Amino acid sequence: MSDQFVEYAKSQMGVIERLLKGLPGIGGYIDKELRRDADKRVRDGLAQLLDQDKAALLEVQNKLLNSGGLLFMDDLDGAIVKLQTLIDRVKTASYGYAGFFDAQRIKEPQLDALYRFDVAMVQEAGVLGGAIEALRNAVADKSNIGPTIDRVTQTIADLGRLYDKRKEAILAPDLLAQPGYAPDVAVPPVSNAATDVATPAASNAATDIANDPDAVG
Amino acid sequence: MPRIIDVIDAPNMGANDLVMRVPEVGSGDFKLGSQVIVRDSQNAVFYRDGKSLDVFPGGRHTITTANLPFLSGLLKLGTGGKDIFTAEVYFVNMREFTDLKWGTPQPISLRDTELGYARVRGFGQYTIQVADPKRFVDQIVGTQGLYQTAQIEDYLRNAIISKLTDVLGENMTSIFDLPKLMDELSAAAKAKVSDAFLAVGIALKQFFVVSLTPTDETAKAIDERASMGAIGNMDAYMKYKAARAG
Repeated sequence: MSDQFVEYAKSQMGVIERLLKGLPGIGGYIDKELRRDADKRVRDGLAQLLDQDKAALLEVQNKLLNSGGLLFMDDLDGAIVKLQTLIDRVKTASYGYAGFFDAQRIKEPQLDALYRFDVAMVQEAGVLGGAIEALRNAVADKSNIGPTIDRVTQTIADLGRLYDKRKEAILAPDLLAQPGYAPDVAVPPVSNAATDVATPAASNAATDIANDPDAVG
Repeated sequence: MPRIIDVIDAPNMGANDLVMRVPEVGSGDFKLGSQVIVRDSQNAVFYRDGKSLDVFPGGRHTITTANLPFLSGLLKLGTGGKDIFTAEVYFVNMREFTDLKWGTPQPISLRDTELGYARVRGFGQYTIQVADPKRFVDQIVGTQGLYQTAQIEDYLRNAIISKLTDVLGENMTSIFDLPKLMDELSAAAKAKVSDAFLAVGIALKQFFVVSLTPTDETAKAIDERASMGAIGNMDAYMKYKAARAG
């Protein structure tokens, strides 16, 4: 199974590969005591990736300015501010003790759906990295800069909407059971999810799932 | 008898405190197993023998050889088996510091295609956050016990003015373009300043140019040009000036 995960990760962009490896996996969410840690780890990983994107965007902005692109500064700064706002939201989110973190029973399909959100966000962050790279090329070629900045801004907005939806689902886990609510992405098979969290509690929880696949948490 | 610090924390950081050192002066006597409690709005940089060994994020951290890998080797060399060692911890306030102000102490002189040269003054506000605690402590704080925003504001203000002058000089052809390009110039200055701040571990979160105005002298020249209705015609302007002088 872990070979399958490796194969999946290899098929993705390098940056996505790195972050997917850092995702806690469904196992991280299984035990209710560990859900906050798992969620925090996902958010920290995502924020780190977005921080790298922001640094890349700042570098491109300075290149653009040095090559006479003053008129694009405002638009690009708008994109950077949106990205910074998203990073801050991801880093400092506090969901309280209700919803997903509550003592209520969480069904396995809900865990699966939440994990799909995590994977989708990482993939979307990879798309953002691609858009920034396209902007870097556009600046070098001095062509198509405006539309490429628009694409970067749009991708940041998409990522923000995805994050909002995930947050909504954490506060009201029943949403995760609705067909079509979670993004339709290929989820890498996680062979030993419990080891991601590396605690005995997680291992026990994983065993519980094996015995009772319908209900966990 | 040295006081052995079992719990290391900085719960009372003030609104303008960037860094708090524990202990405030000298080195503390820590032992393996001591707890470092770091608030969510803090990071802790752990120093031993003058070297920053680790940066702790928010949470409770027990000092062991596992989270300070270099430490075990150092201890073996230096203490002959005892687990007490001297070190210091710098708690870095990771919150945003808002409402910091900048302003030009002297007017910025610029070449101007319409007026020959123009002088402008500017002021505004900015928000910072420590982005890289280790770099910030290493490069700015040094070994001080307490470091506040007031101690770094001069440095930041000078960086802002230097970069703003650079941006205006490179991109502004005439002061008459200023209203049209205000947002663009502000964003450009922010980009340049961000780079300079990051070099010392600080992120520029927000940057506003509240006002960029001509000096009285330049304003008078603008008025003269406007009153004669000959903006852009230097020859007519010179004739006007000569007539006024006569």
